[in-house]
Amino acid sequence: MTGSFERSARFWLRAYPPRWRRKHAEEALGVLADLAEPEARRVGVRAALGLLLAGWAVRWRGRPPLHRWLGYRALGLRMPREYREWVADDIEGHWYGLRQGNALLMVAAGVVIARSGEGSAAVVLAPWLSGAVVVAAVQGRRGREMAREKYLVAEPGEPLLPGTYVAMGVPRPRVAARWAASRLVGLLTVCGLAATGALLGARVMVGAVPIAGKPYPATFEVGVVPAGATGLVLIGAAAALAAVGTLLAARVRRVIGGRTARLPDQPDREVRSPGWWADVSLVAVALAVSADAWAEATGRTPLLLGPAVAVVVALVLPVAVVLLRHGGALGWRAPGGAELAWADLRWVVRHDAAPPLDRPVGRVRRWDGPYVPGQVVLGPQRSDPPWPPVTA
Amino acid sequence: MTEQAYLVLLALTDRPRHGYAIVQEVLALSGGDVRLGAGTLYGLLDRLGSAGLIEDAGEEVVDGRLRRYYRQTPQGGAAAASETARLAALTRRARRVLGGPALGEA
Repeated sequence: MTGSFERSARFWLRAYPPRWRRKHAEEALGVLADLAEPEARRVGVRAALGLLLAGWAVRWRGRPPLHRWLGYRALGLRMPREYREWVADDIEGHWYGLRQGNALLMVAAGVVIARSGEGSAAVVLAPWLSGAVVVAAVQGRRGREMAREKYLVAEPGEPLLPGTYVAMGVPRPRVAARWAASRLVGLLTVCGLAATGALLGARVMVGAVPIAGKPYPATFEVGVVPAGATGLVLIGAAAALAAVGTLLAARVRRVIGGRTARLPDQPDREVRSPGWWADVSLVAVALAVSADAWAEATGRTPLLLGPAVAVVVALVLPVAVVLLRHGGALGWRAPGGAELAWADLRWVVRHDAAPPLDRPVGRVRRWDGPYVPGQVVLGPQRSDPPWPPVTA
Repeated sequence: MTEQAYLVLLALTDRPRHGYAIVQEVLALSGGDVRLGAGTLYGLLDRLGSAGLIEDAGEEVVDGRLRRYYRQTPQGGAAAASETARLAALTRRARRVLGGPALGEA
């Protein structure tokens, strides 16, 4: 069986649901390889079609009935135990955030609003789409943990078989410092440019409008007034704040440079760089800010977000740049291979001291351990490790 | 029971077999007519398994590939026997209707 044949076979086997693949994928690979020519590089068309049909038949047969599915998807009701594997596949699947979150509803609502209202559709649509992307990403991450605890965790008295979900201690997940610093600099730069454009081109802003006909004491209402030179004044203010930000950044650089001792090893930790979904969310946020800035710069909306973004960027961007350029002095990667965590970098900068040791956190995960006959899951325990809570 | 399921059950009568061996045995039993693909095979194995007619019979690694063996259960043997009897009775009735010599005794 050549490598490309195995890749092709694994691709077509994805027609089957993950629960089936865990049990049968290796065996099915062998059968496919035996059925094919010895030097075949890809799975044949007829075999692939057969796999597609059979895989979708397995998915169809394993689906819960419509009323149970609606209850689960719309109301968050639990499923009977026979469908727990299906629920596990749903929760662990890639697009759980889209399936379960309100992202699709938000996109649809955004489209409806954009088409019914006045003004440019892009101005309305960009924030809605961005919100949908971020909601899907966040729902996917946090929603998964909560969903595991609600739907998948084994009930007291169940036997502890491989594949059962139980609470266990896992290394504390952390975001990699270099990834976070680079994304922060990128996002702040884009937002800063957008805000500058909005301030430069601003034509109208929110201000006090005197109500005609009212004598002293004059009464005003909040309305839209011409901006005049306010944009340029605000740019000047932002530049002044940037000077403050640069002073902060210099202090941060001194703190980092002053740390000579190596940071302590963290055995109970797992440092990761988030995947492409995080980048997509950040791009979505940047797009939303840019769309709003463009609307402010061209006079479609009054100046509101531009100054706020400019203030934040002026203060934080210098610090972020210093973190990105000099954080490596703390060692992006320790000699043992462990990456520096964003939380560590922040702690060192704030407290000028070594960060405390991370401890394992309790999470619901699939149990892959050896099967011990007679071991049974206990109920929820307000106890410390050792996990999982089982009878002896 | 469909013809393909019946053939798979028959293929497991004398000894446990793994997936590819089942396909070959079904090919031989059907006189070269029925060639099962991997997708169809697993669909049949799943259905026969959930009906209690076949069961797992261990696995081994050969040539770097995992091979899982299947065998007939006692209920499977009984089902195969009853299906064979049903088909034999059907053939007898068909022969009586059509007339023996016209079929060219095989």
